[in-house]
Amino acid sequence: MKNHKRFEKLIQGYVDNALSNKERLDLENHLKSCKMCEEKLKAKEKLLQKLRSTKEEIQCPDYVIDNILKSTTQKEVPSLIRSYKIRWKYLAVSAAAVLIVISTVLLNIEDSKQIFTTKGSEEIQKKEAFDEVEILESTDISSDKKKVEKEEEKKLTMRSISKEPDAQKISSPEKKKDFAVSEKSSDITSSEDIREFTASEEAYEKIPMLSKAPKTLPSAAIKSDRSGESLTFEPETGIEIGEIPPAIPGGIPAFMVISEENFKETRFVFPEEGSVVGKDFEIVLILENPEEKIEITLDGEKIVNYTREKDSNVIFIGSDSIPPLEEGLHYLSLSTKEEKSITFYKEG
Amino acid sequence: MIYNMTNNTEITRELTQEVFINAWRGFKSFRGDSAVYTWLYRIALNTVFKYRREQAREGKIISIDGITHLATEGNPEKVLIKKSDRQLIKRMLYLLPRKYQEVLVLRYYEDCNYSTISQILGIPIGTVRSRLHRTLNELGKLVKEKI
Repeated sequence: MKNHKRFEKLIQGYVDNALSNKERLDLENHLKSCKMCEEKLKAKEKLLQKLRSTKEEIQCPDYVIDNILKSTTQKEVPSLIRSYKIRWKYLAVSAAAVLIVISTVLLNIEDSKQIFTTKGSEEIQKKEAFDEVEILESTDISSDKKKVEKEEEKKLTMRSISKEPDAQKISSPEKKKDFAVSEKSSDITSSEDIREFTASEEAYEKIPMLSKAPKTLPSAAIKSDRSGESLTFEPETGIEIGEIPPAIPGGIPAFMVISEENFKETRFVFPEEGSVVGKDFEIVLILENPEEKIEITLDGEKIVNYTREKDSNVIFIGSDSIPPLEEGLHYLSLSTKEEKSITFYKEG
Repeated sequence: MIYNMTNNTEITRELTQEVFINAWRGFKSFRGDSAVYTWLYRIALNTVFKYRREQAREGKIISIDGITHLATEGNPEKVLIKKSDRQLIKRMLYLLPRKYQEVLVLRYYEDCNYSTISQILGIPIGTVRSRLHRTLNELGKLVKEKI
């Protein structure tokens, strides 16, 4: 009886052709002498024959395949990925192919003298749109008394949206320890190797926001006062450009601009090769959609402390809100909190 | 497979798209410890049963060949008896619990072997055989009752 039960179980494997040779031979021998098992086998085979006959196949129409391809290629890439743009790239860096640019302003200010200067047009003063300022590092200052570390020009652009164009002026040009701003950069920079930035026509075309703005963006050069402790900067245009974090001995603070479009996860090397970075910096992200709710992860750790004003599409991640960045490769990823809905295409 | 589990061309097309889109979106979660097609089968099964659950929750009746397969529908027996064994079997298949339907479809519609079914469903090979055995017994009983 025990054996009989065993053979009953083997019948299933037999019809599925999933028995070992020994099991199959054992069962076949048993079937010769057991009518009950033989009938069970026949009933099962009959049922399976009917079951298999119910299988139907349909051809997958081309449009279904097309829809799947559309949905899984870039066209259907979630808007999140498209929405991250570091527009500064076009302004600050001419090479569009550059994926990641960590623009840092790096100066050893022990012996260098840096002065922020800017010259702007009157129209810009009243604009609520952002201003563009470039921080330039002069590396080969002709003056004997001035020494700068870098050979290459380092650029940094800052973007700020001023809700109150006539906001308070924080620094005064007269204060030696603050960044001084002059309408005429040539007044200050004539004897120094400071290059001025001018937004190109191409840049205007590429950036929707800019195309709406006057094309007379102020060219600006920013230098730091080496003796400055507070680097609060404001041009005389009256537009609040932004507040630069306090200086640290040996270098001025740096902004880190990750200049890659359409990324969900990006890698960057810290610090940029050949550069010296102060301990204070910011990672700045600009979202296309101010309403986008996102989560930011740095090296797998969720970042919770970042600055984002209500309804603003600009996110600042300060170096004080993330664990100390070790030298090397880092991963920054962005994700939406909300699940995107799936759209199906109906035939026709 | 989806068509054989829904018997509706339009639903099959929609669910097929959903399977591939879900697979694409969830590809990061694919650990690579099984073949891609077994992973796709699992997504397809989940998609079909999820669809059925949603339909049931919304009170919609899933019909097969225009005739509801739900036993609770008004006087189904009369209708069923008029149909051939082949159609009857298919209807009875839909009455089985999910775990029975899965093995049956994978084995006899998709011709997957025990090892593949084991990977797709995440159950031991021995369980595949015993489950198939029980499933066929149940199906046989249901068909016999209706005839």
